[in-house]
Amino acid sequence: MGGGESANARVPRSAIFAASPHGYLVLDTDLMIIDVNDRYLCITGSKADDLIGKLLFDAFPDDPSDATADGTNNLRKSLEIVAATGKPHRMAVQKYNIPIRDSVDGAFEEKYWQPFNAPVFQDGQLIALIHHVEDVTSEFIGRRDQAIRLNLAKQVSGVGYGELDLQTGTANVSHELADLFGYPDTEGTFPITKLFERIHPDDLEHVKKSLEGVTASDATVNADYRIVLPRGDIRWLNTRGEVLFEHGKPARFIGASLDLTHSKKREEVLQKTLTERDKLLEQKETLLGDVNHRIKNSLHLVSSILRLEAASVEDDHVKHSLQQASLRVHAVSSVHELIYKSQNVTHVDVGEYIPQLIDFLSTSTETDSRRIENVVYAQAVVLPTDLAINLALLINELVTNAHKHAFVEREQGRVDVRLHLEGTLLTLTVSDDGIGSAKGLERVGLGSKIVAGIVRQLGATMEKRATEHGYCVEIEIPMPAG
Amino acid sequence: MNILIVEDEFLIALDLQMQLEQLQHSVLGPVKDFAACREVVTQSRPDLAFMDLRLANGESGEDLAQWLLSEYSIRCIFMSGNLDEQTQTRLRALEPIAMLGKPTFPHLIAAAIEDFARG
Repeated sequence: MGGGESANARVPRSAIFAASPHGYLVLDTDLMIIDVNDRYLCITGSKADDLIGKLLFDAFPDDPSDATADGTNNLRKSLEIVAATGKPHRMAVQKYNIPIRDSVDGAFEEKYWQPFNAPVFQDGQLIALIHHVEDVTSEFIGRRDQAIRLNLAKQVSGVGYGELDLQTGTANVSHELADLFGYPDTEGTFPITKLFERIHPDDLEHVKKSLEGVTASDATVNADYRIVLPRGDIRWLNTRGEVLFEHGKPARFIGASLDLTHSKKREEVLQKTLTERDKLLEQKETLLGDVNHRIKNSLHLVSSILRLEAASVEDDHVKHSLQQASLRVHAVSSVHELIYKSQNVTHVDVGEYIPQLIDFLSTSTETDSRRIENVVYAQAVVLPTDLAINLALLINELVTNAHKHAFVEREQGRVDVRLHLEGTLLTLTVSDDGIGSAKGLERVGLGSKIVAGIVRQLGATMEKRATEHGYCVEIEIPMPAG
Repeated sequence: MNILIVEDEFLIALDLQMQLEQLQHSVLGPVKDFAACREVVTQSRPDLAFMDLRLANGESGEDLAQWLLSEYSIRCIFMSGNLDEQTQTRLRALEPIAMLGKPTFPHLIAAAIEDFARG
């Protein structure tokens, strides 16, 4: 090599060869390795002693474990072309596994190369060949993996791929994409307008905006839209992809489209069902409100009629009976008033209601001339509506009875009403400090029949006893389960 | 006190009239719609009105109460089978003396009038 060096070169060419960032191998015309630089040794993991003086294909044999290995053959052909034509030759990327030099078991490392071969002439005579390689393994494997991923995605049925050249207005579409747009058995280059003319007129603007609305920093597109097929059928598509910018302008769109018709139809049915359900619920509310309103109006009417009847008769006994009936109807119907307040048809809170009921009873029975004090202790309990109605009737009978019979020939007295829930046992106690026996309950009157009947119906127990100061009735009601 | 009854159910109106008269009040009406109410009010001036919310001919007691309040400053005791939260919220704008459910206890009627009389 010394003979080739220029006398006035300040840096010897051999030093440049050694320091070159590219890997070079120099072969004589018999393909024997005569020189190699450090970079080549580095990327191939070889030592100069192992290579120099050896034939190229002895130094770099094909990987015997790779049946498809054709690296040596391709390289040989390329070198032969260079030798025959005297011109450089660039080879396609080659898979050329190289032996791992220090491995004991003669293993090979998978490598991809971009080789470039050039002739070396002296005085018009071919004296050597330069073999230049670049290790493109990582780049190649990356590209290959991407291709595998794309291929897999393409195999997912119903997914179509396409690329739109936004500057020339042409589309390059896959077979599946053309099919999705209603162009069966077609693929390749298309005018974009042929795709756009299939888009539902109401969605076209939206699709165009999705494509045009991208910026270099957010170039993703995701749009749902409808396609009108040649026969008029509607197909829902979802297209996702990205716009590529060139020189700051949107140049190409690469994306995939998916048929959404099935799920859109399900969505539509679901939406319709939900709307119908809401409408029905609203109707139910209105209907329930209306029915309740009518029930309460009718109950009010019934109590009005009884009160009017009572006012219109002369006979004291009949008048009294009608008043009693009016009170009983009132006890039942006033529980309905609670239903609206509790916003719940099945259960009502009787805590505030019981004092009101007792106020009502004391103003309605003929005790105005006497001073009877009513002391109410009612726990705030939520009861099933049926039980609340029965409880109101019990209180009506017991309190009315005490007012009527406990204080005969007395000017004043006191009635205690107590409602108490412990565990699942509801206890109603009505006691007075009257003459010691609530005669009414001993009689075989309607009042006592009603009390006994309700006690039986509720599976309750009743205890009547004379107390130190008067008389006491205690009813224990088991709360219904739930 | 002069009390106007606006109630389209004849028997309920009659019962209410009887209760009010027992309490020594004089009753105007009962009337069952806007037109009859207007006629009564042009001749005599009630101190307060009992107002049903659903009137004859689909008329609304709320509208009538609004008219009584803005034209004559007459306030109402509302009576209705439907006093849910929404209704109560709307009625509060009409400066009600009381809102009584249907059916109501007669003593609550008396108490509402007494409250009003006391101011």
